[in-house]
Amino acid sequence: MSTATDIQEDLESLYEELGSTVTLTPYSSGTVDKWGDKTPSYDTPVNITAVPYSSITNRSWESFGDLEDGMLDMVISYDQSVNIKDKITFDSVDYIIIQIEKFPMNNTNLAFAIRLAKDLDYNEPVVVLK
Amino acid sequence: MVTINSSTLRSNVYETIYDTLTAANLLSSTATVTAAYIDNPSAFPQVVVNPVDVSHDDHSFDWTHSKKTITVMIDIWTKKNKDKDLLADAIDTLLRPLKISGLSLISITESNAFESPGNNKLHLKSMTLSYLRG
Repeated sequence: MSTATDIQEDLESLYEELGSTVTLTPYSSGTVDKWGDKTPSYDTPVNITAVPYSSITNRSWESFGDLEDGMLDMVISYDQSVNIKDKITFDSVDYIIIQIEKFPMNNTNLAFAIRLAKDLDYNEPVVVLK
Repeated sequence: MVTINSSTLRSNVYETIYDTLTAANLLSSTATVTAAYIDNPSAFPQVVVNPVDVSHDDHSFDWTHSKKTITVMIDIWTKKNKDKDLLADAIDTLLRPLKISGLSLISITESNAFESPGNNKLHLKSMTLSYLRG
């Protein structure tokens, strides 16, 4: 058994010890109208195990008001399929994946570290910021 | 309609614009009209009425009179390009013919921008209305 596979298995054990259940909703596609406005669609949500860390909620002032945005990092298993724009729900808050980092070793990915931004969900006609 | 007094020019003009936009039920009431930098969480699409600026020039010799230029800046924040256009059209249609006692509308200018607060996509259009008052 290669070292990379050993590490993958060790990490899987760690996910079971440290992980939380989050909901992954894969981004599917969307239609774009003549204004360039997209109506996104999503595939069926699935529950996966992830290790969230570095959860930061940030307050900033915009001319439209008092904004509470947030960033969250998490590590997930090498065998999960994640993409930019997928939605992840953790602790009842929706996030969008904005960055994916791989950890390759001997041509084998050990894990994914993903960065998420709090989804302010402007797609509804009127949406109150979370 | 608010009476425009020189001693309370800024607040009178602000209230007139704010009340007119609020009463208009913009975008079938889906748009929210607010003041700038409000403390409460906000909703989108959003129309923000900024505080009014007044500049004085062409003073009379004894400085008892001057030409005043009143500038009102309105920010339109939307998720969608289309909503930005629709709101700008609605505001233009509403404010261009609006008669404000003692003021004369001299220009409406617009500019577009894009912002990504918290890695979210937001469109911004700023409309600037300029009025003259003797």
